[in-house]
Amino acid sequence: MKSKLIAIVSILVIFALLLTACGQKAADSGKDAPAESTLKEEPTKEEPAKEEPAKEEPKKVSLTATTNLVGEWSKVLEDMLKAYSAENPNVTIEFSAPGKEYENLLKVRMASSDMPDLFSTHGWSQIRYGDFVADLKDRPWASQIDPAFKPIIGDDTGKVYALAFDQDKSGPIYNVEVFQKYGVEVPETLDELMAACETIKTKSNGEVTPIACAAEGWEEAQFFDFFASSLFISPKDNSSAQLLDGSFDWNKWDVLAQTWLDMYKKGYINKNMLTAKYDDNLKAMALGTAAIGFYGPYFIDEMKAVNPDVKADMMPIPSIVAGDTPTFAGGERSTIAVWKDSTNLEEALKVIDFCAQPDNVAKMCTFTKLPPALLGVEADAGELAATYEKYKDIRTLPYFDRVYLPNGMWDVMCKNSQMIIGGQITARQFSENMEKEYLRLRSIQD
Amino acid sequence: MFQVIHSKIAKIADSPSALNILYIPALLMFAIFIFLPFFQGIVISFMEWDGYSANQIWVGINKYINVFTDSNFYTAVKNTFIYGVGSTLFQNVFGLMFALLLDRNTTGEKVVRTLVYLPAIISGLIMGYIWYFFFSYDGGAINDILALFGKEQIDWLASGSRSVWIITGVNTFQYLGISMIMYLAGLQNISRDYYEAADIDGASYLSKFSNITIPLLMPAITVSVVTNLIGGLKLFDVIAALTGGGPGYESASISTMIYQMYFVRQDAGYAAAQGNIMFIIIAVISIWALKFLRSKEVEI
Repeated sequence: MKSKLIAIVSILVIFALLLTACGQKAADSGKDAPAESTLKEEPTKEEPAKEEPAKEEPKKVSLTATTNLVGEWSKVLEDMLKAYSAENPNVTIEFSAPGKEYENLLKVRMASSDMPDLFSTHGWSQIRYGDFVADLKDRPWASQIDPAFKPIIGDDTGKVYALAFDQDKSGPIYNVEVFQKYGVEVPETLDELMAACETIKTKSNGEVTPIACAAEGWEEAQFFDFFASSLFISPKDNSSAQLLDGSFDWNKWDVLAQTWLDMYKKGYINKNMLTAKYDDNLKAMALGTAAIGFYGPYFIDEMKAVNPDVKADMMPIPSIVAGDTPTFAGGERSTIAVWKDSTNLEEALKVIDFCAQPDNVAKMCTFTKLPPALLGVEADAGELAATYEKYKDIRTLPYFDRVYLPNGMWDVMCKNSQMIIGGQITARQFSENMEKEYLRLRSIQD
Repeated sequence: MFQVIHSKIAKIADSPSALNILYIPALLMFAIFIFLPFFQGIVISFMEWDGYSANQIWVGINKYINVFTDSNFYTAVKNTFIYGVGSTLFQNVFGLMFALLLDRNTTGEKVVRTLVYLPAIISGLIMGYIWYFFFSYDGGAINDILALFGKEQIDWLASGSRSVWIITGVNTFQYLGISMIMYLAGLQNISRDYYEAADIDGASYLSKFSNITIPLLMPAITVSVVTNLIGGLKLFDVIAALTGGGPGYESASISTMIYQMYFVRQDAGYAAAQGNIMFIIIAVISIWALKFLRSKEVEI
């Protein structure tokens, strides 16, 4: 018994020593990098940097980059970063694209102030990530930002929050062949949209769903994001000031909530909206068993992946108020920012500069088929080039939730849009829930 | 030299208090990963905080008041009880049934035992997605079978009350194998002498089951029921995969609601308050269940 105990104690001691040794190794390597980068930075302030490279090998730098982009889209960015590493062999960039969990992962990292050196801001560079990003206004490409897009990526003080490759321009996507088959024109107003839905539903004997939507945590809220802009922002006499200063009358939201419910009750939205998934609707739109989806231009390529022969296009968001005109929703799409407290800030900024080169920006815009956010970049928008040309005079307003709602309201829109369809709440209660969360989130973020 | 060290260690090891040193690693792990986050959670529950910014505003018991006045929370509590108690009941009834069936040396017994246990080694998230393809409205296996017989398709997961029982069923299916293994081990520890004596006295199968099997199986029942109860009350992954807690909050459990509130709604204080309440609920239920079942165990 005694020798067993001695053996156990000895094993535990050895184990503890091994763990301590491993921990010490990691701690030592962690200590070295900041000390070295600090040492390296001081000489560059006092002497011309040109002298350093001639004397010694560039120090090894390791950067982390993470993005919300997924699939082939993320590969465009990953290839860019790999190209940078190829040109700068001393720099390794650890790249990750966590997909759906990206935002949650970043929130945890923000809470512990441990951000990746490079990360995507997906529309929230100012409101959510503003306190964490480095100011890019002095970068050589900053003067090339499209002036129309600059307010999206910068503020009144001149700070530039991120490098935006492209400018998002979104509206509902529709299956062109379905529209042609049932003799439906692209609607310019909400009333025309409802009439188009009725025509498609009636003439197809219910075989074609007018609008495909899924309660997956963003699709159902997209209706509200598009049409809140049409109702509250687009008209000449609008509520933008009230939404920004917190005095908005939330009784006005009842109309939108009721319209959404009416669309579902009239059979314009797929019956299984509460349980459908994105892929179900993608298939339905691609195969022509659904006509319209509240997505964006990226959806068209995904439809073609399911059915290469499908003809799809994007329409502007129909107006609601009499006398108003359709619009597009716009903002950040593919972006990359630098963590202001990165231990390798200079190198990370150089990576951003590399990504901002016209060829690299063009690669991203050719993939997303969106207009570049930097001037002087030629990109091929493919079949959407004709769409952008057709609608070149249509106004692009920023995404409603990103400007006029505090950060965190998206889930409120999602849950309430599900609950009203499921009969758990009324349109009035939807508005009350929106107001309650709007005020709560504003109080934290002000 | 080695003899000297050996005798010194032996002397220390002889002292009973020296054994307490061996608790330290476990206590440290407990402190860092359980106690510290638990107490941080209590502090956060008194704050208005979005979970990542520097702004944390003291709001006292406001979050707890919000929780107790939120009808969606009561829906989640009701669902949590169904997932916990419902899953436990079915897992243990079916688990015991399989154990009784397999507690004989029959052909294929090992194969059946493995097949019943297999779902337990699959991740809950994957299990949820597998069953989603059965219950999906468009292209789901069950609706396809209904269509074959000319019946109308049913949106199985659109109804909150129906999806709660579907989730309970999936959770039961996944973990009844664990109960089965525990009961098999328990049954094999019951001496055959008791059954032989009962046979001599002319006892029926039901009489032997209620007077011999159940009392002597109580230790296994205690462990199985308490483990299943805690797992069922904390259920998250199957719900996330099948319904996401929807429609709305109709099939949400307290766990999924905590996730929603913290990560999606960005209301860390509210999520922490729900987490603390959930801790109390699970602690009360599991301690009561443990005490009750322990009191039923028999001494031989």
